Amino acid sequence: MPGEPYMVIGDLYNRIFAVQSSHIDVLVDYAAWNRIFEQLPPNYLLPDMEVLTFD
Amino acid sequence: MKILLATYWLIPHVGGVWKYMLQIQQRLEAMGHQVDLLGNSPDYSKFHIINRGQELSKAALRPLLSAKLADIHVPQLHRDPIIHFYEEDRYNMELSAAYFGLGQYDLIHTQDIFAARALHRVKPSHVPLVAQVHGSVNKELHNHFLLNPQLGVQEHSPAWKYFDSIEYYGASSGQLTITSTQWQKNELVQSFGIPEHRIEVFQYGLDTGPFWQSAQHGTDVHKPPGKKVIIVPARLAFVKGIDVLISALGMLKYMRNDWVCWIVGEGEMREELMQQTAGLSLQDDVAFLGERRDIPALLLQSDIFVHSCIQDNQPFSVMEAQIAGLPACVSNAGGLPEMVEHGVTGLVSPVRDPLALAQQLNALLEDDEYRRKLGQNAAHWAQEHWSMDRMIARLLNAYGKAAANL
Repeated sequence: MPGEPYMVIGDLYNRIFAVQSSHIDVLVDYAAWNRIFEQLPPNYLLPDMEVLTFD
Repeated sequence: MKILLATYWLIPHVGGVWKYMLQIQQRLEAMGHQVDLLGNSPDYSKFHIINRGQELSKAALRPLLSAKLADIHVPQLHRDPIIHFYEEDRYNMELSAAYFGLGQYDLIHTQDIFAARALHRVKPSHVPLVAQVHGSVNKELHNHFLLNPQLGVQEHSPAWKYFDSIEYYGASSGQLTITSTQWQKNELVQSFGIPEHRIEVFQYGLDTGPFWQSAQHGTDVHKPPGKKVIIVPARLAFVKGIDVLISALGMLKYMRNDWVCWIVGEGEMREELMQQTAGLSLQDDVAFLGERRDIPALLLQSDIFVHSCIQDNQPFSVMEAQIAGLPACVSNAGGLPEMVEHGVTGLVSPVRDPLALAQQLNALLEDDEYRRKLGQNAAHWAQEHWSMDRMIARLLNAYGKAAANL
């Protein structure tokens, strides 16, 4: 169908997550996530542990 | 230059930050710069660059974020729902900003701590960031926690500490931090350890052209004969201290009845404030006018402006009242004493002191000459002090400094 997003497994973008885990059931829009992924700095990580470490 | 003005908060919005962003955009574009405006959409469903029609729905991001940042993987994020809410939405902003592409900008100017931290994390290193601090999110939230003990958030709680943490990291995210009052600068230096040399202080400006144009359109609200008008344009939120004013009006009613009060704004405290008004039998004296676009015309019909807030930095409402030539009765919270000189351009009372406020209102209603004199002084001071040209010149200078600090 025209305009239907091309979906891929979200695990492709595991590099930006601090804890590596597999979720093969979670699909994401390839065009949106690829564009985001290309623009993120190489050391970008989620979550933002600096802010969350306050004890 | 191509400049991105960014806020985590909603755009468009009726609040002062949005007005500030629009004013900067108009002025800078008139000088030949390109200015984009990034923020949350009014229904919180997406982040958008509103002037370009670019957007990214949070629905495209949320499933993957929820899976990868689940409690089992990142328990720190789930220690309190409020932490989870603000952090997840900030990550939405970070990914959206990357999607829009920050490398196209010569400078990023953020308007709050969440946007500052978010864009600092995803911007290319060659793009300078100016972090403007308009108020104190952590003070506002800490007050909220203190006044709502049923939430169970105390000084040792994660939610309490989180707002200290995000305030620190947000305010120190830029090559330069800007604020509009010495009070706010002192807060940033003393409470958060931001180096003094990294903070620039200059006051807001206000474009008086649109104000006077709007005033000329008039209003369908009219001053009742024989009454003077006390006006309060403010969001109906706890931090604005409108309950303090209503308590003061309850006392003022015993002193005199030659006044009415117009409360202009909406917010989550509307019901509670209306109940307080009814409880003091002030229904015929206090009118809740809701959100309105004719505030300049309402100000011109008014006699006294009040801002009895618990905490504020440099609100536009005070600037507009001064431009309209009204004496201001303000609390001594935050940056307000830097805006109103007691006994010269208005009267300043202690925070949450309804008796002092009632006495000040009585004094201004009693003495027409005194009231008009303070109003004239306020108008004269506003013309000098809230110059938009001066603010824009200082802002461009700050942009230059931030670029040099890279």
